[in-house]
Amino acid sequence: MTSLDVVSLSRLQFGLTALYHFLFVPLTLGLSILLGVMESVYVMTGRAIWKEMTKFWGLLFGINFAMGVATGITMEFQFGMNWAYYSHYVGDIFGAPLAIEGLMAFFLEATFIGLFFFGWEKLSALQHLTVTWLVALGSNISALWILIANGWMQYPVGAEFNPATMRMEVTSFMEVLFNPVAQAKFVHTVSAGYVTGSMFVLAISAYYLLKGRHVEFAKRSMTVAASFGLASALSVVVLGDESGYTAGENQKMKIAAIEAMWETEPAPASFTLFGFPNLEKHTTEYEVKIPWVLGLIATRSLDKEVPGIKELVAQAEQRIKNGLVAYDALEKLRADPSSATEKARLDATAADLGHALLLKKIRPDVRNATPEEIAKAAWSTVPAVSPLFWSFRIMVGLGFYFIALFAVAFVLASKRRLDRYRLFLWAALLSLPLPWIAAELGWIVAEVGRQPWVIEGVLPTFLAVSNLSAANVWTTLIGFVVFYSTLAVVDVFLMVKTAKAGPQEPRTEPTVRLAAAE
Amino acid sequence: MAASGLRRSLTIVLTIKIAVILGAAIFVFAPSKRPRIDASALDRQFLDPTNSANQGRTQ
Repeated sequence: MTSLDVVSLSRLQFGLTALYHFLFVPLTLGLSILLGVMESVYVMTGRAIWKEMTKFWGLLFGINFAMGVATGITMEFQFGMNWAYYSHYVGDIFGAPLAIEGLMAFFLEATFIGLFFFGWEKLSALQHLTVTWLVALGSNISALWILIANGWMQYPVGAEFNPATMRMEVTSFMEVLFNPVAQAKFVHTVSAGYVTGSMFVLAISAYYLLKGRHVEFAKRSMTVAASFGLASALSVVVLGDESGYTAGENQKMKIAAIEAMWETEPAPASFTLFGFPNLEKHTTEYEVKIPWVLGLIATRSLDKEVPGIKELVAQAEQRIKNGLVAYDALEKLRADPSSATEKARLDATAADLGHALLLKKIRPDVRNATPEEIAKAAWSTVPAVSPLFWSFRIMVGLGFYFIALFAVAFVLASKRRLDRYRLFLWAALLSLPLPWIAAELGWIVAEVGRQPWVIEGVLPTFLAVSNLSAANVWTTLIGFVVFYSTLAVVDVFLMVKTAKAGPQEPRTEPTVRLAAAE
Repeated sequence: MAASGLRRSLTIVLTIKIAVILGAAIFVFAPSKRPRIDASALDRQFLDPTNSANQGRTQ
């Protein structure tokens, strides 16, 4: 069929399913909060239009939520089926936040989403509002636990390798929980979700204004989306900067690859705004640089250099050599678990064991690796530079565009002129897909930038894959593509149909049943 | 929907779901169909000098 091997196919399958799943997640995160805001206004003012807004956007939220759940579950199955070695090696740590996510967050949102849809006539206004906020809370806590798991893959703290069980084991759950990379990723990701939700409401409302339909409904919706969207778009950029800083501390190769920075950048490091990475010559041509900016992003200083790819490869080469000592000690320790000498050797070099495992891609008997093979393994620590370079720049460019668009929307909403500028309404409508593009590019930066590691510095991706045949993976991959494409058609059809139909016109409902809550 | 109709629909849906889960458990995820991944398997994956660890396997 093609020459793709099991490792590439497994990565392709997980990448496709994850990117597809993340089409639904950010909208769930953003819309859930917006629903809470809209319903809060309804409960505070008692004006029926805010209830209609909550119901209408809630209907679109429901369609999206169902798709998000369905596509998320398949990824958890893949850990066991396609990534069995990974699951054994780090399941003790990685499995915990996933289990907590299911028990704490998913059960919360899944339970209360039923009450959200079917409880309008059964619950008091205040009770229903509580339900809506619990759905939002569940969605966001869900993201927290998933990103704690993902953050650990980027920066594996609070764990150590146990040679007796051949797996990583937790030493401090609090370190896993408060992993700075995970925390930075969480706030950055949920903010991106809030931007997506805001853009969704803004764009569909702009469509109504362009058509002259549901004008009051659309103007109110746009006002909420503009305010929340502006705050969120600013947060995304600020918190993305925090993510960049944590990567600068812990994933220096990722930063160097994003920057296509082959040589070490002296302090104060410049940021490459534009250029063409030349992978053969190890240079970046036609660079346009902004002085100091990279130093501020990656080191929060003007007096620290930022290491380039070549320097980091040289460091990786040294770590591979150290790792071979760990590899040798591990082999002997497996044969004689009581050997204190080998245990001490392993303890001293265990941090570099993963680097020695990189050689396994080049030759099965890694202890006989030649200097040329070690150098080749060291260069394998460089992720795909061009996709990272361009994905990052497009994502950041879109981030600044969102700030500008929401700022204009906010000003127009403040002056009550949202329906007067058709050019702006068209811009808002046509911007609908952009937050999704930015979010997907963000994940490409995060995950392609982590390669060749599935756990940064600990476990190479190719060693984590199950012993499946390529035919097995092709079968499931094609199945996913066909099934998910069908789901996408159904989802888009339902969303477009619901959005085009628009909200029900608000009924006269002068009072809110607050008394029932007392 | 009347209560009896709802009861019938719930019964059908739950029966189908349980049948699918049981079918998957027996025919797809049975212990005999799962590879055993333990310390020895990791040992072979990482340390066996003859194991090329999935590299280049396109079949």
